[in-house]
Amino acid sequence: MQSKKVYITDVLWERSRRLLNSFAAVGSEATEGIVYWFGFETADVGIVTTLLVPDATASWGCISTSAEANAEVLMSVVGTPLVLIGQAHSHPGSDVSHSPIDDRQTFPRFEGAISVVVPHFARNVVGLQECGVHRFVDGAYKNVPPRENEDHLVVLLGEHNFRKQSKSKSQ
Amino acid sequence: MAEKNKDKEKGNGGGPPTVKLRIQTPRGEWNMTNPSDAAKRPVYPISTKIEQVIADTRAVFGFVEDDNQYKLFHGTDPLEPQRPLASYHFVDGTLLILSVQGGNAYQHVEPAVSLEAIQSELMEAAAYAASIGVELDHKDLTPENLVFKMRFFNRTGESFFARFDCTEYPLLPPFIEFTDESGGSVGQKNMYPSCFHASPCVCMRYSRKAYQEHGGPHGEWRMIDWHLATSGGGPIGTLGMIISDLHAKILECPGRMQ
Repeated sequence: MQSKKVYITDVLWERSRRLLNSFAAVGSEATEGIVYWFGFETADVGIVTTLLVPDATASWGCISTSAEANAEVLMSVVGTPLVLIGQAHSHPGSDVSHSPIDDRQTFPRFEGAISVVVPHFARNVVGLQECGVHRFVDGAYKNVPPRENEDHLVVLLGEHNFRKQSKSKSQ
Repeated sequence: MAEKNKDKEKGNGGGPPTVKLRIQTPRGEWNMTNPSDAAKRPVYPISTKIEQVIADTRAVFGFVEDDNQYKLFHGTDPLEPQRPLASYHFVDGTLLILSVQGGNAYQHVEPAVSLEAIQSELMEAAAYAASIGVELDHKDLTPENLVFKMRFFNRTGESFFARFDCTEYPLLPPFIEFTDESGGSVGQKNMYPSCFHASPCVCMRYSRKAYQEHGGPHGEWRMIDWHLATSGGGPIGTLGMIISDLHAKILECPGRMQ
């Protein structure tokens, strides 16, 4: 399965998880969550820079975004070079497959779009291997075998402090 | 600009009056220069219908529609697909938004659609049921009553009567209950074969009653995923496969739930 490799920093990866989990924390009933990944694309790669959460309607086992809610998201990127690269959404359990409805109704619907499914309502810190990665190829979403996840999505270092702890001059 | 556009609407520049649009999409803006490799630009005779603009924008960016229906918005106002651009009095440079619904919320299945799917699958299942000695009763199926019944036997020849409510099938799995022979005592434990979950329910993805939202034990499953395999077995996605799986389980069952 050939598609542009998508890069996201570990900061935005974790921030995505927290945004997904924010749906689970609203009200008394946990629900699925969703976040759109916008960013830049070159001929070879996509780079996620921006996380946008639509005004979604969510319930325990499903989530939906109206055309109006998605238009509101798109208004926020007018005049910028940002493009939709894909999305992440959460599932209740450990199953990170796309349902047939996921396949047919997921908002990003163009060649190369990426859709990541995060398990357990994104409650816990997750590695890429625990997530489902799906790519839109030849007009339809296809599941990426977990061993190939990193051929499609790479989590990069986003922030690190190399400053060594040292004695101050006054000591 | 507005005056200039009025002239254009009158066709004073020669040829049919046109309007140059800007259209923001999920994949960037379609305008007179972007995308650089676009085969078409958003310049339209004002008689063009909105639906044509939607179709062209989708073609430029390769958006696939499937169950989704793309819409154009001007600000927050949705545009009617059958109306011409002229009726909105857009001026050159007007920004429109191409959007579409998303997510995975299941939608209502028309009863007639369910009935057609059920009848089609039961045609195949009936021959199989007859071959294994299981009785199938679907004579009362109508769009208002998407229910059929089956009589299974265990290895000692004891009868078990199952009722399949297929409302919203095939999007959602059937709601399976065991009853007495007359169709009463619905869902009582002693109507169930002892091999099933004590709640009681048929504890499989293909059984709507197994899901937490219907009082079942499985909070980690989603009903829209009912065709999927579980760790305990492969995918079961048709009524024929469901009947076959129930037959195999009940046949091995020693008796009735207490």
